This record gives sequence, structure tokens and C-alpha cells, in this order.
Amino acid sequence: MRSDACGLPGVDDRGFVLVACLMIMAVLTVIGLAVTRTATVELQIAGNDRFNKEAFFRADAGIFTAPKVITQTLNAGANPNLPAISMIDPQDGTSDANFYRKIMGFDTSAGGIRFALGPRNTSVNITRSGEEALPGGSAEFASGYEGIGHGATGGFAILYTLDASGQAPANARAVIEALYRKVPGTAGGL
Amino acid sequence: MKRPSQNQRGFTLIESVVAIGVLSIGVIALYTLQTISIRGNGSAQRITQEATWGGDQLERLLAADWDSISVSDRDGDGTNQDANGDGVDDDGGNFGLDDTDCCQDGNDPQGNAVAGCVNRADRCVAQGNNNIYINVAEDQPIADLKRIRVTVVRPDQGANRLVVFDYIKAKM
Repeated sequence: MRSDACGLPGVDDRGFVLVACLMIMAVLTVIGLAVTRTATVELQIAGNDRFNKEAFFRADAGIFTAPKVITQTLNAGANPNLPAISMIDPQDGTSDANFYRKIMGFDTSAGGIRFALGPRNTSVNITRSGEEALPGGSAEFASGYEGIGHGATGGFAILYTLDASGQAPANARAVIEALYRKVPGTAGGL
Repeated sequence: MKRPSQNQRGFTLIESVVAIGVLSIGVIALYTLQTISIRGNGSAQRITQEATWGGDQLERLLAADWDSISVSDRDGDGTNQDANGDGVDDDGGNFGLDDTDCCQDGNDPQGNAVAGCVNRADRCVAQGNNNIYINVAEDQPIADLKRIRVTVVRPDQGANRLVVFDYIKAKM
């Protein structure tokens, strides 16, 4: 019905309460959805942060494990017998019988280890990236090749690049790269 | 005198009742939405808190001396449990890394007695409502390494929420 009591043409403001109420609700809905979205994002951030930490600690554990495996390999001159740790060829992910050759420097390609740490895996790619003479050492009187033999301690160091990758749920992955400087024949260190 | 040119009739009762009805249904729905959001924010905060506390405990062990008591395998359940060296506990106890029944004294980290306590954690820490259990396995996965597991437990409506961190500490 037109509100033409006062002679205004074509204005009908009846029912505007309902319209106003719907508009208020629309505004409230937008605010509500925004809050829900914030909360969802907040939860995702917290979850991802947690998985990130988990993956990071796994990768870091790999960095500390690899030197022990390298030392055992150098001492044995063969693939060490470590049932808890697999020697893996990073190229194809299969078991690697030539792991020790890569650690000893006979093969130049990268070797790798993999082991389970709780429900997920840690894998470390190990590349022998070079050797260096230690200050104060000499080639003649260095301890024998790869730590075997006599002489003053040290003399040379072998450099390995460690590329550790730790997994966690939700496809989380942390990668840590480190340089390991192995001085054969000396006590201490990793 | 001429009246101003506007309609001064008020709202009808039906109009008001319908408007209030619609508005309250909407507000109740939005209230639920807000409650869910607040709860979600709370969960996010607790997850962040647990992850941070777990990481903190792990970092402390990382900084601690190899032989220090804080990283020692107090109940010895991580030592000599793996005769064939395959990284699997021979007696099925996972080297005691899952020991979260109670602490060494038979209580939970909050100090409450635990009935029928069997699997005792090597170390316990209480942080707020959270119970943190720390277990260490000697010479795992190979010699001169210690496997460390930090388990942060939050009791939540009868269920336990866990944040678990695994780590390996190397002998220097």
C-alpha cells in the first residue's frame, strides 16, 4: 500500500524493519565468516609449525647421525653392518652396495643413508666434496691414508657435504645442509 | 497548520515480532560461529604452546653434556635391548621411548599418584596442564648416538592429545 497520506508520490517505507534487520544480519554474517576464517588459518599455522618442528628435528638428527656412519665406513673400508640404517643410492633410491666407495672417494657420486625415526624417515645424502691439508701437518708425516697407519694426528681432513631431509605428517619436509670436516685418526669430534 | 510531509505511523506489532524473530535466529547462528572460532583459536594456541615446550625440552637435552644425568637412560630400557642391532627392540618395548605411564617416582609430572604404573619415563616435566615425558635410548640407532623422544601430553576431554618429537644426540 502506498503511503500517500501526506501526498508524497511513490514512497512506500513499510516493511523496512525487515530489510534493515536482514542488512544487519548480512553484516554480522560477514564478520562471523571472517572470524571463522581467521580461526581456521590460525589452526593451520599452528599445525604446520608443529610439523615443521618435527621435520626439522628429524633432519637435524640426520646431520648428527651421518658422521658416525661415515666414521664407521672409513674404519671398515666397506659398507658398515648397520641393520638400523640403510645405505641408499640417492639416484634411484635403491640399496647401495657401493656406499663405501663414495665415502672413500673412489666414486664421485653422492651416497645416502636412510633410517626411520619414529613414524617417519630421515634421509641424508652424503657427497665427498674434497680434502684439505691441515695447518701444521705435512703430507709426508700425516697419519696414514684415511686414518690407517702411523704418524702425528691429523695431517689432512676430508670434507663431506651432508644434505639431510626430515619428514613429518602432512607432507612436511625440512632440509638441512651441513659441511662435515672429518679428520681421520683423531679422537673426539663427531 | 500543515503537517510535515512524512509518514509518522509506527511499526506494526507483526512487523516487529517478525523482525525480532529473524534477527534472533541469525544472532544465535552467529553466536555458534563465534564459539567455534574462539575454540579453534584456543586449540591453535595450545598446539603452538605444546610444540614450543616440546622443542624447548629437546633443545635443553641438545645443550646438555653427553654423560649428564639429564640425558641418561635412567631405567636402562634403551640399553642392550637390541642384540642383533636391527634397530628394533628385542622385547618389543621400543627402547622405552614410549614410556608415558608415569615418572620414575610413580607419579605423573603434576605429582599425582598413578595407579598401576609400569612404563616409567626417564624424565618428566610439568608445564601448565601439560605433562612432558622425556625418554632416552642409549646407542640407538647405532653406537655413540642417543635417541631422544619428547612426548607432550595434554589431557583433553578424557582423551590425550600428543605432540611427539624424535631426535638423535651424538657423542662429540
